[in-house]
Amino acid sequence: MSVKQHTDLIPLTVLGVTDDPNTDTQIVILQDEAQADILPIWMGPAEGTAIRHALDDMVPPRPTSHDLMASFLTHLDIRLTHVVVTNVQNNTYYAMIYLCSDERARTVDARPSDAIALALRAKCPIYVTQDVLKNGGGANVATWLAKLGPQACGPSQSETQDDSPKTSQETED
Amino acid sequence: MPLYAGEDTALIPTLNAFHIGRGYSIDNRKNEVIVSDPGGSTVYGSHNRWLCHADRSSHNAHNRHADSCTPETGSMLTQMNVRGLLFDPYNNAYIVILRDEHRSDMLPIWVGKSEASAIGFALENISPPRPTTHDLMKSMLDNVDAKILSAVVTDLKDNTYYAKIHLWYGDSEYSVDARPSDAIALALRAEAPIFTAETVLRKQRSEELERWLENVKPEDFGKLDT
Repeated sequence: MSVKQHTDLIPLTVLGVTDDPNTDTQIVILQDEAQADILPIWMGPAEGTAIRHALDDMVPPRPTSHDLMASFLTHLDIRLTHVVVTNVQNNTYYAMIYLCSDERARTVDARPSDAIALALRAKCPIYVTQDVLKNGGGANVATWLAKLGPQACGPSQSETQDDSPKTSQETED
Repeated sequence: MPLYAGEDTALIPTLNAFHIGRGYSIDNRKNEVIVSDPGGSTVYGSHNRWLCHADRSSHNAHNRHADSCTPETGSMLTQMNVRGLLFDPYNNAYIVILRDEHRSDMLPIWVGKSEASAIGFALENISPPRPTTHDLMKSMLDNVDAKILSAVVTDLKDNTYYAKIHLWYGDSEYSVDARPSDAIALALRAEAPIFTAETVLRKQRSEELERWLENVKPEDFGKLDT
């Protein structure tokens, strides 16, 4: 429906969530279908955990905030059609949630972390605009890599005498 | 902290049962929850910045609907106000304090850090630059014209509190299972009333007594035969 209006939307898959060794934050790694581009999004520990749980299909004994949100949608018979990472401004990502209730399409402004956590639970597609993917990913990774100290690459690599430590390995966990 | 993951608990983890048996009490005259250190000398709570919140009464037009929202147990409901948030230094967790309108009952609910900040933001009317998870929840419900009627703390089982969120959508009422922390965070944002089932207040009182009894030593009992 509204997806077709935006020809520049690129579907993303969530590769995983990793800890940022520099700060108390987590990084969600998204990748496009052609596996050509990577979009890392920084978020707080609670948001990161919400995505981790969804990726691991973990069902905690009591519903988490995002489980509750998904349960609202199920109870009220509202369909989550898709979510879109729409914009990046001053290092802040913006997202949009597309709902369908009573045959009417509605959009809600959200943080990408919430949008992704919800999309994974509702099993709906995650998109990013071409602009964001082009402008967002690369620059951030470069800055982040520059800040990484050797200790961030893990002790196992120095012990195994690997003289070309790969930081990208973290994103594959 | 892992003991709290995803649950709103009534009790401190057993690990700290001893400390808490001594260190945690409710002072109904001062309306404070007091968490003291294992030696019993330091008192947290009275000088905690969270406790300065004024009571959030939540009288509004939804009460009419909410009165009909009795939980499955058929038990009586008591309307509660959010008295404030306390930091529990033992468990690195937070305590949400609910108090009834007559100020005779208090319900302390242990919650995690992110749940506490969701409630704290609502209490202090802070709207961060980007919507929080609970702001999103509220705006999603607003967007589809779903109305939050009330939040009800319905049960206390194995130290875990259970809650229900009552919604009005289309032309019917829905009730959705939730943790009290989410229910409270959402009710505060929607200015909907918060209730507690009478049975929960009773259970909470008896668990408190049980915990106290566990820590009673033989010498605490007086000699009856003299």
